[in-house]
Amino acid sequence: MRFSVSKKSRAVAKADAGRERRRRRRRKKMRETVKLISMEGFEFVIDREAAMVSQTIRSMLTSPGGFSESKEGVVTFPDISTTILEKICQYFYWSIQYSRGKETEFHIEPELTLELMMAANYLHT
Amino acid sequence: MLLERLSKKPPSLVDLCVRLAIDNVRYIGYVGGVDFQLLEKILQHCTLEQLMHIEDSTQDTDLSPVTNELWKRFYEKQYGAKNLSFVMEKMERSKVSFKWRELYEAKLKVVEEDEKEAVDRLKQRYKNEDARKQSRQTKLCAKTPPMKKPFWGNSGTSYNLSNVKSNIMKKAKLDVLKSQEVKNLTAIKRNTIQKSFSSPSKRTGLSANLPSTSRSNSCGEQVKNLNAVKRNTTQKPFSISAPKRTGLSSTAPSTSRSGEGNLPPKRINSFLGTAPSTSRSNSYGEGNLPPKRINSLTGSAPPTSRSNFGEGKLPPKRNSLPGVAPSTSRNTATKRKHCIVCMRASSFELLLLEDK
Repeated sequence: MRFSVSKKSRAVAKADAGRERRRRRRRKKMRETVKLISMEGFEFVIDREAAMVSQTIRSMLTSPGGFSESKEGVVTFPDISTTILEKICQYFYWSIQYSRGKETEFHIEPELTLELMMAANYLHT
Repeated sequence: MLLERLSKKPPSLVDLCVRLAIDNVRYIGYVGGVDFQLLEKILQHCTLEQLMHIEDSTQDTDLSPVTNELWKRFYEKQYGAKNLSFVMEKMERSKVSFKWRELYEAKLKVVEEDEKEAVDRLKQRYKNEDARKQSRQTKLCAKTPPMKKPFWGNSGTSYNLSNVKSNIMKKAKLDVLKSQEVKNLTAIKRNTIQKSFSSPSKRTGLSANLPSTSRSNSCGEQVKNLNAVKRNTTQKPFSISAPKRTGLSSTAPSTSRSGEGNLPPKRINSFLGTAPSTSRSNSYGEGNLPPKRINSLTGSAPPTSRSNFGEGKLPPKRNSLPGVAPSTSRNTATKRKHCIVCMRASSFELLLLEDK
């Protein structure tokens, strides 16, 4: 598991106070969605509930320690390509649907199989 | 969220992916970077060729921790558990361990080589058998071997080995030439040569000789007789002599019938003289003599008679007897044929006699 403990949090330290105020105002909203960023820089904004399907993301977002991920609700995945990340997000939503009773089939393109498997393994999903 | 009932836990993405990978294992190539535990799950379902392909496509990663066990299983399946245990013991003893894939490939090579050898041996056997059969077959030959030289003065026992260079081949050729079949063939050849070499004047003498000799002698003696004939024909000049036994002319037909070959033609000639009949009767009882007597006859025979009586007809007369043809021709028909033919001719002659 990798947390991007980075310059970001340090750089933001100064402006943190300001942001915190803004965040409190947008907390509800912030709490509801999470941003996942792929290696190409694509940003996927998904529900927090959906993101929590992945154990890795869940621990990232809920860990105590003041990591930027938990604060910002943004997680970057420099190892995961856009197509795969997209598929993963789709899986999140399918998983919630499935658990709510709508049992359909989750189709995966064969070309993505191995990569998706590797990413899913990393994300503990 | 607490109120939500999680009726069924959805399958994890990892599981889904693994299932899909197993279904499409034949399309898998490069697997570098994949977790070994996952890889193990997937590769268990692939065949030998597929495993080989995956390993070869993933050159940058050593998959042995995963694949070694798999190769061991393949080895056992192919070559038996006994062999497996044997190989393992060997490795333990020599404290060397090889990758099972390498062992498998080495074993495969050995087996292939053995098979190839066996196939080659079988092929060779078939070839040998074929060659043996071919050598036994009689083959048609378009042309006769060339005559080196005339066999004059040839005792019949010297063989031409000038072509043969190696000693072994000389011996082999000698054996062949000494065999009965070849002797017969050479004898026949000599007959034809004799006939071709003999002059027209000598023809009757020779022709007369041949049938009588054949009749009186066995095949093996032909050569001797022919030689005698040759000697006689070459050495003795023509002589006109009246036959000593004259009373036998009445018996001529019987003697001729008894089987002389070409004498009938002589008889025709002898109507002008009785010589042939007498000679015939004599030859019936004698072996080698006939040649000589006939030679004496030749003096009185067609050539001389022809010249004396100016009968150009004689040769044609001879030819008119169909049975006589063989004597004058270069035909290498057997002597027996001559005899039969001459017998027929003799009967025809009888008719002629009667007519006259």
